[in-house]
Amino acid sequence: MEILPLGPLAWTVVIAYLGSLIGVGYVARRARRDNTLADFYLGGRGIGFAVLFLTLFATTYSGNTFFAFTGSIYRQGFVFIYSLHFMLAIVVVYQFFAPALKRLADRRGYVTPVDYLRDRFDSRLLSVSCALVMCVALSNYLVAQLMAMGRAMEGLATIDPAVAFAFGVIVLALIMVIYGTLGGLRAVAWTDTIQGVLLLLGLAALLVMLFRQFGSLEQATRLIQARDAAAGTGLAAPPNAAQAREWLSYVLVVGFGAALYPHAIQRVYAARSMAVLNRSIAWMAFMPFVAIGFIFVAGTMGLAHVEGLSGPAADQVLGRMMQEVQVASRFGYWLVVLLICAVLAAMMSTADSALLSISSMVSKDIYGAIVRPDATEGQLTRVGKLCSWILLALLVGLAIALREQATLIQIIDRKFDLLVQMVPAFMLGMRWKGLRGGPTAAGFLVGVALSLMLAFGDFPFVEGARVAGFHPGLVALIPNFAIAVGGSMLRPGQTRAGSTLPETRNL
Amino acid sequence: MSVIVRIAVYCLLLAIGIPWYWPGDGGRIVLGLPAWVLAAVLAGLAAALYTAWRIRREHPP
Repeated sequence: MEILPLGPLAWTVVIAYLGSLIGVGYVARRARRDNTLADFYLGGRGIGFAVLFLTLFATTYSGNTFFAFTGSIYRQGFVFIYSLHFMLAIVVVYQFFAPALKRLADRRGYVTPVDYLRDRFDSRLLSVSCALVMCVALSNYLVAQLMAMGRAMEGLATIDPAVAFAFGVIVLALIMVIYGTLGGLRAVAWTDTIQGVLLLLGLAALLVMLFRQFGSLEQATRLIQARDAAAGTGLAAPPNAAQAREWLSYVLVVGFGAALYPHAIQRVYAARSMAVLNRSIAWMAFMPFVAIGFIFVAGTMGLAHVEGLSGPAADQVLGRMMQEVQVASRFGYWLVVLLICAVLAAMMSTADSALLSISSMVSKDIYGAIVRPDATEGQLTRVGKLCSWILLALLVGLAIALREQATLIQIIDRKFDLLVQMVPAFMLGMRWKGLRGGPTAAGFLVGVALSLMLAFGDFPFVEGARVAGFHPGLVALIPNFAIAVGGSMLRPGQTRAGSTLPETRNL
Repeated sequence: MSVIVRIAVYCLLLAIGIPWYWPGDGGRIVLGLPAWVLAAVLAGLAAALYTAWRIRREHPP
């Protein structure tokens, strides 16, 4: 983020905001009712509408939304409006399985997504492999957020950029893990509420400062169109066949993948009631128009008025614009300070949720299920907290080592390829009681292996980690589905245990 | 049946929302953006309204 260094008063505001998050963590710790996993990881299943809605919002829209999305608009042009569709697709997919999953979670006391898998399929292979894949996918996500935090700090400090990057990653991660281990999901959801409000204010500030500084959206669009007509950049044109395929691919892979984010599923469990959950999902359907709408305007302005960025450097376009606004007036300076707080809020609210979710799966689904099945809930909670610290230390090191290695969007892409492989287990498993654990596990493992091979292997039919424009994860989902369904139909008499769950039914 | 209808509606909205059918120039501007961008946004808005309506219908407060 290439903005001018902040003055002492602005730093005081930022530090006060960050300090308040630890205060919230302390208050959340005092609000805990007991020392159970449900209390720590699900806020005692008592999250109300306002907090649930804002925590879903703050978690869904991360630091990547600001930097990677504006960078993508800069690289791809108007066609990146498909980000509106893929963010909306997450909510669309939710409505197909979240209410039924919530009913099950309340009746059967689920804490992690793997609890559903264990209960429904009674397959250790499926539950452990899904837990591992979710932990890896979330760790990938967490690294992306940590890197975004480092990049944000690079532009704010006057010291050497590499040192500022490392300092930003370490300090922000430390704050996050402190309030996360103090108050669990209650602390994370409450800080998300603050962060969600800040995010909305920051987005509004972004819009105000852009229009003040760069003029109208129509002027920007005309400028891009004129450049397109002169140089044939294609940045203003509607999607060609390849871009349309990529559009469809993103809608499917993000829609299904992000709906299966473990931390999103745990928010479904944490809702106080079905009414609260449904109301939150209904409201979330309109949030892409606010968040992506504002970001799209920012990216368009950047494309029109900022020149000379390419490749990973395009992620700096928002920072460049902030710099111009910052020097233009005192009002602009404080708008930028507000936006910085919002950006930090967006990054931290996503990262803390991912961290808490990983810690819950490691403690309950790996340590509790395999290493020490006799551990008490108090012991598992302690293991989860310890795991948060160790894991974050490792990922902080990785984020610092990966500085300047990849664009944020490249990092994000891979996790969806993995997460969509759980679609048969969660979405089909919820609706078809004939789906069996063995074939579902086999399909899942084949899907994961194939998506990784396609993403990282050297094949003539794979171009830019896409197969005919589609994400490898979607291609791998086809054999995954075929194995899960075909294997279950071959031996229908073997259905058992989980298939008797009240919410599962025949298609 | 209800699920199939829902999926069909979303597929239709997606087919409209991805402007693959739009003529190549993309020159006309509406509300500050190329008209084809607005078509994509409106299809998305229709999907959001449909989603909220379905949730309210199936799970009244």
